Amino acid sequence: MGNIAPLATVPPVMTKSLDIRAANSHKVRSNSGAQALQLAVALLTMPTEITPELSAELSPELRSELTLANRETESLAERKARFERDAMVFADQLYSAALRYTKNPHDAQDLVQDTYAKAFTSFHQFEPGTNLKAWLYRILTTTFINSYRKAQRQPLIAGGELEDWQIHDASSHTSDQGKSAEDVVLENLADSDIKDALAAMPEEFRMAVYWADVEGFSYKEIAEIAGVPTGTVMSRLHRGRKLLRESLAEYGRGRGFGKESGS
Amino acid sequence: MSCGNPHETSCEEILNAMFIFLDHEIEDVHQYQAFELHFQECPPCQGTMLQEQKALSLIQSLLSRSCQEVAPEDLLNRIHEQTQALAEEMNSMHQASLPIETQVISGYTRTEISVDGVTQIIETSHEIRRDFF
Repeated sequence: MGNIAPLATVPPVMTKSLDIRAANSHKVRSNSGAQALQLAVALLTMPTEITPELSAELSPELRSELTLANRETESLAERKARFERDAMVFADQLYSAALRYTKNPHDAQDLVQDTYAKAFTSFHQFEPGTNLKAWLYRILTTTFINSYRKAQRQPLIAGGELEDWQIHDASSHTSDQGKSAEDVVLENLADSDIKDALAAMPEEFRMAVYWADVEGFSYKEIAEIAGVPTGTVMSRLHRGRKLLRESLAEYGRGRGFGKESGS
Repeated sequence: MSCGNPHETSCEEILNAMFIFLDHEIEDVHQYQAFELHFQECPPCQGTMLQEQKALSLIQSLLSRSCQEVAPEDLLNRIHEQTQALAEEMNSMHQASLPIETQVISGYTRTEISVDGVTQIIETSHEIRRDFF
């Protein structure tokens, strides 16, 4: 690492941009001299942003520090471009999730719009490289809880949910390995029936099932989105799936499927 | 649902935590191996597991099939306009919070006395601060 000398030969334009970065460099903490040198080299060789190649060479800790420094020098126009590029791709998924919460398109659209407003104004706090979709869903959830749910006055079901998942209901399963009559009934249900069955479930169960089984989030991610402990996520998910399965079977019986095939 | 044989991990334990296994959330490698071993040894539990797995993937595919709404075009437009407006607002707030450059002109005193000593003009200026935005 003896190649720090080129600093003296940096052309004037380059020096100017270095000054700007130097102004920010106090925010970058380094633990050792070697890290400081690595950082100095990184800052010197940094063109206008941290390239993926450069980023890959740095320790994860230093990388996040640099990203932070880079994010603080980011102009509003740059941030807006980054937001439109990275966050807008989740609009459909956010809208689907919002529909699960509000159960009507009008409120769902408002919820998504509010979510994007909050997300943009706090986008500088989002740590690049972490799960943006989960971050957006967390904002969607808190926005819904803070503004929409109050208006909707939904009763919350609580209590007794923690122990429930531990009780395995073995009697409800048969050892039949083939496609069961129940499966055929479920497969023939209309999308609207499935959505209605989901919508009829209490919110915590509905959303736990949605995050896990539609979005494929892990227990830990769901816990972060919903702001509850992982154990609670597990109990809600387990109970929610059971409720949904029963409810769908009920819809199937109501539609008369399973007796005549198909229609 | 037990095969009646003794296992290192009981059927009850396995059945209770089955859904965690199916969700691929068993992180501990020894616990995971305990599941695998149990399924090899215990056909009834393995049967239940396979059935549960099938039921779960059916529910997941039904839900994914049904919950695929597309955000309306005008919603997307409104969000774009909103982002633009917010960016402008944040920009003007940023401008307003920029440090103000202050020029300070020190106070001075000027005294003029006419030749005959009758007229005296004393002019005193306080400190002048000018703010440049």
